[in-house]
Amino acid sequence: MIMKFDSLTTAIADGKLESAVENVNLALKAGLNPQTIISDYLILGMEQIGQRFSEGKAYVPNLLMSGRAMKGCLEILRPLMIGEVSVSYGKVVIGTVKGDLHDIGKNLVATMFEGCGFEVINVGIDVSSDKFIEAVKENNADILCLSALLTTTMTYMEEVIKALDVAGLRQQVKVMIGGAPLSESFAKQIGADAYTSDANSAILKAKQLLGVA
Amino acid sequence: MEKHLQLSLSELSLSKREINLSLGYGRNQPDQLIEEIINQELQIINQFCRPSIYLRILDGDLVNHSELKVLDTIFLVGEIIGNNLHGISKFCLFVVTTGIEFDEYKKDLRKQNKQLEEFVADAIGSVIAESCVDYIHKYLQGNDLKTTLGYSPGYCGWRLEEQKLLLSLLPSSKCNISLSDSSLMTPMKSVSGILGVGKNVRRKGYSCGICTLDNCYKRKQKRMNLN
Ligand code: B12
Repeated sequence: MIMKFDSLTTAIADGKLESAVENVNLALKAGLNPQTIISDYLILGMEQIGQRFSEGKAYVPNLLMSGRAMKGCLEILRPLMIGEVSVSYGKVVIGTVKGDLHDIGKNLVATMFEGCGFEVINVGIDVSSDKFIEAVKENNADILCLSALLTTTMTYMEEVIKALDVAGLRQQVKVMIGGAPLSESFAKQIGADAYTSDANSAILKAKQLLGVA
Repeated sequence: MEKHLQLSLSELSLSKREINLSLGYGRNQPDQLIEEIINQELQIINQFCRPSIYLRILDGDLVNHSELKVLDTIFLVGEIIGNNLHGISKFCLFVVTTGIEFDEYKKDLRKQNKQLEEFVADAIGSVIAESCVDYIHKYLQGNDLKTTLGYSPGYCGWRLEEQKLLLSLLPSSKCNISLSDSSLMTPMKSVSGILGVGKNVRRKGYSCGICTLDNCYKRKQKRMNLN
């Protein structure tokens, strides 16, 4: 018997942690495999809230609530998936560049990536190019996300990109940048692959870059 | 005149509307759950947060359309700000901060993985810092001085690096504010700046009107509010 668990998608989109967890347990009991639950129901919920956000019908706190509900569900499902092929769209290393301590926007981007099916390695704030390179290498990252909120620190992004080049990693990782004083043209100028102005469009862009959209 | 004011949140009369704006709601109301989190965070922050304002009024004048001289220091404020400070001879240099306890509280929330609460607290912290700047205007007006808009390094063509000069004219040891090589202040929720004061100064323009950050989410929301 095929059962539908649309209420699971709705619970994620509405940011209802308890209801989402309850529905995940029901779906497991009904015999759905964890991978199907994630890709057919949970991620769909995150995409719905993302869509509402981009239409101005939902707000950042809603994104965070959905992210929280998603995380709660993944905590139940991940342990059941040991040995299975990863369902992740890709690996993202994200951090705020050296000299900069802003983290609220960067963390929001990280939460959305996580919720939308990426594996995220959040390397924190005030991060040097060495540390970024190390994280990209160690995790075999698909995307490197750099954040900066100041004109005095955004220039460091170019150094990180150059260092990627020197380390021979530039071809294997896409670089996305963001933060208030940045722009599309700045991204071009420093050789980044993409700039987006908010967390939601960052996900859409990342999927495009990796060809999984 | 030199002054240190330490305030409680009730003296700042934080506006719910500003908090909503800072959270990205524009003119819309957050739903009940978020509203509850906002109230809860306000209550917690109210218990420990004692924002500080440090100000110093000094003589100065505009040496040309974009340079302001205060004591022996020349600030390259740029033309946009310069235009608004024309003919003024007294300046209030200021720095305001929520205090380091706020940063610590946010760190705590992060450790506990309370992202939503952290986001709300962050927005409240920004509103506290901005409200401190509003308070300076009220304070000076209460002392029979009119004020121009406040201007900060990093805005409107005034380079961020000049914060170093600005803070050097303020009693930094007393302020408990430190500045990094990249001109970032700690505590995070701090604002430095300058405003023209005098019996006859006029306030020209409005903050979004002169700011150069075109794609700012605050500007977008304000525009939506006007429509
Ligand atoms: C609120 C605010 C404040 C608050 C709080 C600041 C804080 N540190 O927490 C207060 C009032 C205290 C403040 C102070 C100052 N501020 Co201020 N502030 C802002 C404001 C309005 C919003 C920042 C914010 O919190 N946004 C909310 C978060 C969620 O968004 P976000 O971090 O931008 O992240 C989003 C996107 O950028 C993007 N994103 C972020 N990272 C990444 C990474 C990737 C890879 C991608 C794809 C996307 C992405 O997605 C995120 C989520 O949607 C911005 C202007 C603006 N519109 O952004 C100015 C701004 C950051 N401030 C600015 C300045 C200059 C200052 C001061 C230096 C002013 C002064 N002289 O006092 C001080 C510095 C404070 C310090 N500690 O040193 C400038 C910085 C530009 C510059 N010249 O360097 C800005 C850009 C304003 C402007 N008009 O130019 N500020």
